[in-house]
Amino acid sequence: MNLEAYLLVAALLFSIGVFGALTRRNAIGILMSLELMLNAANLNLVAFSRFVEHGVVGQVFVLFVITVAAAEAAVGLAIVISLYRNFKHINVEDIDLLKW
Amino acid sequence: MNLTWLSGNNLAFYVLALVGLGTAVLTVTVRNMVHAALSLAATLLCVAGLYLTLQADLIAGVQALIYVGAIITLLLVAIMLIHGIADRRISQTNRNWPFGLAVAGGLAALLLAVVVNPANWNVGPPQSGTERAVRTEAFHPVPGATEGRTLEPSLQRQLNELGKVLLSRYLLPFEVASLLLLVALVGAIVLAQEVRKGPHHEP
Repeated sequence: MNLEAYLLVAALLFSIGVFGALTRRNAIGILMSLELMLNAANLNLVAFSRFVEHGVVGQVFVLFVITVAAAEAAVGLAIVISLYRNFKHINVEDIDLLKW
Repeated sequence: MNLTWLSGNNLAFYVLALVGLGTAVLTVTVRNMVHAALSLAATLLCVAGLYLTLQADLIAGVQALIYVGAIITLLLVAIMLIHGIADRRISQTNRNWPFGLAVAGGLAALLLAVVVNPANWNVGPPQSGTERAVRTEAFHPVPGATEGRTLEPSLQRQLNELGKVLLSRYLLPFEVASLLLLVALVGAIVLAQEVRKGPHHEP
């Protein structure tokens, strides 16, 4: 396969993630959509590393992105559980304490 | 010989891309959040397979271990801790979903318009022509790779270089990443623990 095919898949994956992040009502669904978008970016990085750079620097960057994604998931889910403890739901439309 | 290997790789790409995108759509649309998390696991495994077709074996393994093994498990535990989230009678998308669909569709159209036209990418040396810079040759199998050895020589070289680069040129980000993981661990514990009732802990 050539580079464009991988970029195409990654673009579609990113758009699906954007759709989920915009339309999900609960915070965990939004976190899942964020993981989809991070994966699309990682796929792009690996594809460019394979086809353009011919090295491993792109893969190193993907390793760091995965590390940050793991930290983000842990902290994000802790925030979600803390929200649930305070509000008894995690519906992001109704969590508007900082809005006005 | 070469052609059959190539077509097998292409077939793997198509299957992985289709299954991955389909389960990604399920992830963002399905009502039951447990099913959404399991679809996300399938998507992440398909992306790991795509890494394999890109000959990034270490990344594929890391993806399967960390994403599917750790993050999905964490998501499932959080879903089970939160009461009522797995209720499929509640709509899980907000009432602005047509606008979300429009934004996502517009973004997809924009990205695809750039992706399908490699002449506009502006990648590589400007004089040598982008055709040669971005369209590299197809995969070439290493002769005698699958017989007897534990790793292909090219993969062994790639792993060696990855380890070398990670501990020399990218040593500082490597250490900062470990510090980030420690801070995230402590922060997650602090955020998720029960707030004690006391004079210093006003709700």
